[in-house]
Amino acid sequence: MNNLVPLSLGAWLFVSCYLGSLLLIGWIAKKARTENTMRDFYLAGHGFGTLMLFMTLFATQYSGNTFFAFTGATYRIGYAWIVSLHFMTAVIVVYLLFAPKLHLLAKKNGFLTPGDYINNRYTNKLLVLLVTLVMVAVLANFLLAQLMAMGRAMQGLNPESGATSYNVGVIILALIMLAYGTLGGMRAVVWTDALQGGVLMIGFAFLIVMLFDRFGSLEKATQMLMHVDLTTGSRKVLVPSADQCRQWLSYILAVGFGICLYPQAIQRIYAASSLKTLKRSMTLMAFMPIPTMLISLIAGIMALAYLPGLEGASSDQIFGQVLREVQLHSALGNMLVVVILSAILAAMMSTADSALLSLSSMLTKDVFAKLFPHSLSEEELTRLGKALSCLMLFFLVVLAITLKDKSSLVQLLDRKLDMLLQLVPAFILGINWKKLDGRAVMAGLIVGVTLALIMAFGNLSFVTNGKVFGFHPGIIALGPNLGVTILLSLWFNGKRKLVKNNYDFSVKRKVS
Amino acid sequence: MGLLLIYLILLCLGIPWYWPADSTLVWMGFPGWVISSIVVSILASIVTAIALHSKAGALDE
Repeated sequence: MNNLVPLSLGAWLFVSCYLGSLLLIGWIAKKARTENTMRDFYLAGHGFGTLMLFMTLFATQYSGNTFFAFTGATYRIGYAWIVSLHFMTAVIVVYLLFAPKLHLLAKKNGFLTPGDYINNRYTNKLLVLLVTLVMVAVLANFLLAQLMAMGRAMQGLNPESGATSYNVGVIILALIMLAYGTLGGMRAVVWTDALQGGVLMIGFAFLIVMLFDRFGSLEKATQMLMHVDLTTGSRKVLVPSADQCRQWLSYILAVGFGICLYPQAIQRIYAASSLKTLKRSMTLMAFMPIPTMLISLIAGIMALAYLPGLEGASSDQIFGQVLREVQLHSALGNMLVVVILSAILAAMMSTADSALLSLSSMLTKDVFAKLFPHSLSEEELTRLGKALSCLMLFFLVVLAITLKDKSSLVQLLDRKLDMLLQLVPAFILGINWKKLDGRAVMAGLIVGVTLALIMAFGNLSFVTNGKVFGFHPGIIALGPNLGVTILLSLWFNGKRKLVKNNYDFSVKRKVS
Repeated sequence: MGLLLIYLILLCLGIPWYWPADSTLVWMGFPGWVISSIVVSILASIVTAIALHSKAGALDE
């Protein structure tokens, strides 16, 4: 967002008040607390109704980052980014495979963390630890990326101060986030999610109207780009190539299966007040990709047609240029941009806070409480969770400041989906296939994660741009993972049956 | 199995591999293949909503 017109004092005041209101939400959420337990802090007690659950599922699936990252992606590859519509719909289709059953199990057994389900399903402590480790690694990466995005956004708002704006931005926004998250727990996060989601949707709809007003119709932009395609041989409007179609398939599978296994997404399945609530919220979610993805697609196409010239990584700055055009177009546009910017900053904080809350719940419940059972009361564990949040955030803020000029390093680490995909057997297959064995899941997970990491970082000749023949390494690694899991489960089951038969036979012989 | 088949068909129709590479059809401001992709996505949303109600509704709370 380095291209914005500098904000006025009034605009800065608005941004400060908007961010300050999050603290008020945190305080109100603290007052709404019914008991001082981990369940109340991490899952908001008895759970959320349809609207709140829908808003928080929406904010979990579409972060503030999504809007301008997807606008940038459309700017780079053109209409082919309509694939985002399919992979966001695929997320809900995958929820269908396991979320209703998981919700009922969670209600019956009082699950708090993803590890609780693994423990209940497989009674294998090592597997709980392994799954938690994978999820903690993913969340730490996710949180770091959000902190860095927050710093860059602040740097964009105040470009004269450069690195100072970035550092101060990361620290101040992280402190606000920590304050309201620690005060109100899951309630505060969900309420701020709802606020940000609503403001962003309305703000972006207005933004599109203003873009049409500034540049003209979408048809005109499409015809212009079509002409460029036909004269230069690019494919920004024309039908995607075979290679792009292969990448579509990979994206649909990777995002569809990956996003719904984020720990914070799983905890939202637990946090629904009833199955009916979950069902209604997901029905609404099934239709959300259409308006959300079309808005960022149209913004990206308008930018591609009328603001060309950015290449490669700098194309991520296109959203800033779009906002600048709207700012310069009218006074109303300027006001709209200030509101959108505030909501984007707050949405980033809210997304990061969801991850932080999830991270602290897993470290407290699945690591500390498992290593030192019965050593602390519920209240003390909740306090420990808050202390762990502070510690993790401090560590990640230092890392975000240290790595600010090494975004490529972070991109290298950005293998979240590849790792999450390896949890498909443990959660999705495990809930649907009774014969699945915990030891087999563990072996499959080790194979899957190892292969995904080797393909991602191994500098192998058949891996191009982080993809294997157009497919994500995580999708490729999921094959052997599933193979090992299923075959070993069948073998363990066969062995168990054999032992049981031998036992029956020896008992019968003794009786006779 | 029926539901899986429906999703497979939608997946095949949603990816525009079957569109002629040089198609220049534009409708409502979008290229023709984008419109077909959007329609398939809407169908997938409707199928998911129906499946969610019938499948999840069958479970006991």
